Amino acid sequence: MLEKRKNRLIKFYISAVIILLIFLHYLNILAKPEVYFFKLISGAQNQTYTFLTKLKYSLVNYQEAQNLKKENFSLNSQVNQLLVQSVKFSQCQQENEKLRTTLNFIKDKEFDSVIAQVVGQGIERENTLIINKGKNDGIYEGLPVVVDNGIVIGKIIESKDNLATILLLTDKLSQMAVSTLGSNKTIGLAAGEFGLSIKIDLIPQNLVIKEGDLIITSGLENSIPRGLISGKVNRIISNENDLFKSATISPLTNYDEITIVTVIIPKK
Amino acid sequence: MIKYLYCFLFSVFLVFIAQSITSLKYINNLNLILVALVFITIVWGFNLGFIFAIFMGFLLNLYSYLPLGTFIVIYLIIIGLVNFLYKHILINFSFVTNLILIVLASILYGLLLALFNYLFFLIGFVKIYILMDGLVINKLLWQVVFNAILTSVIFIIARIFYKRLNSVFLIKK
Repeated sequence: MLEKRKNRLIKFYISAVIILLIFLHYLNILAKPEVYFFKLISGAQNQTYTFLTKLKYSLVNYQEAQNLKKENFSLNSQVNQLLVQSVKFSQCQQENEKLRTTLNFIKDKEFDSVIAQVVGQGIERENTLIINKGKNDGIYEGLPVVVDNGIVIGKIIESKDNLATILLLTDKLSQMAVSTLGSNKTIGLAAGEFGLSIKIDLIPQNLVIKEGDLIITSGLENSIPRGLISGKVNRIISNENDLFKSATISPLTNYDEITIVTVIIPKK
Repeated sequence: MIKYLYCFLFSVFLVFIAQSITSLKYINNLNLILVALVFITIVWGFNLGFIFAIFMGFLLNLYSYLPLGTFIVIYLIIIGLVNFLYKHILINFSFVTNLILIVLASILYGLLLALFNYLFFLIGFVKIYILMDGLVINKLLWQVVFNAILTSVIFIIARIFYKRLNSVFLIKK
């Protein structure tokens, strides 16, 4: 009886403490301890996440290595042809570097960026990533997140003091105004499809778009600058009688391998 | 009191692992925390399950976009149901009843999560919700399968290596 009463008392105290913690959290009194907790844990969390991600791909790579051996033989013959082309490429590379320097200069004028580490995927929902930077670093909802040299992977949908959640572009609820490289105006809204690819609906029939075209952000949304690469068109669905056509885009990066991202913050 | 400190440290460890395995393609279907909670509730009783539900729910919520407290409520509802079923309906603790409980808990978890997420979306607390489409249902089914497998493995290991636990399993309550 006494034991039961004691247990009930302990449960009451723990519940009261938790309710108090939630209350203090919303009053922002717990902000500092939470920051320390995340600083303490996020480094190790990222290391473990990165290690497991690499481990997964090393195992997959072993299986693929067997198939690659066969492919290697046929590819060797192509190498000689490619050597000739490589000379041409080196010239293009020099030109590209000059252009990139110019582009970076332009970008520097337009926005700031915050580099963040991925600490895991959302446990409650598919197509979300959690990063170790948040409001304290100037990250807020709606900001675009990129990897590598400007490949956009999604948007921030929630930002806490020291961590934020990214909704990936391939999610059904994700939407982003996009355009083609050659077009100045928005061609449509890109939305995720089955968590794998991205689809643009309501593209005017008269707009010229073909498979392989690069799709970029249009700059229509305030917080998302123009020119971030969303993906490459891999299929166009069009009927002559319809007013609009649609296109499927494949992302240029594997979302499962992402461990470091850059959040783009527009300059005020 | 030291017992509760151990509970908290174990909760931190489990949440840490659960969050880290989200990168692994098939293993991420496994709901480590739910399996642990159901197992603790069945073997060590509702009281300990209650403590773990609060600790794990609280810690997990720190990583989530859902409002603080959501996971605590979800886990408390689940262990409440598991405890009720175990004490009143599935009294004979066996391999099969163990599986039934984890299957029910997994389905309930998926539904409650989607429901709470949608409610918070309607209120305007969160920007996204869980679309109950084929993909989500498929993931839920896989989660049920993986959770059942893990529970079975824990059940068998516990029976082999922990004699005291073995007697708990075999005695008809």
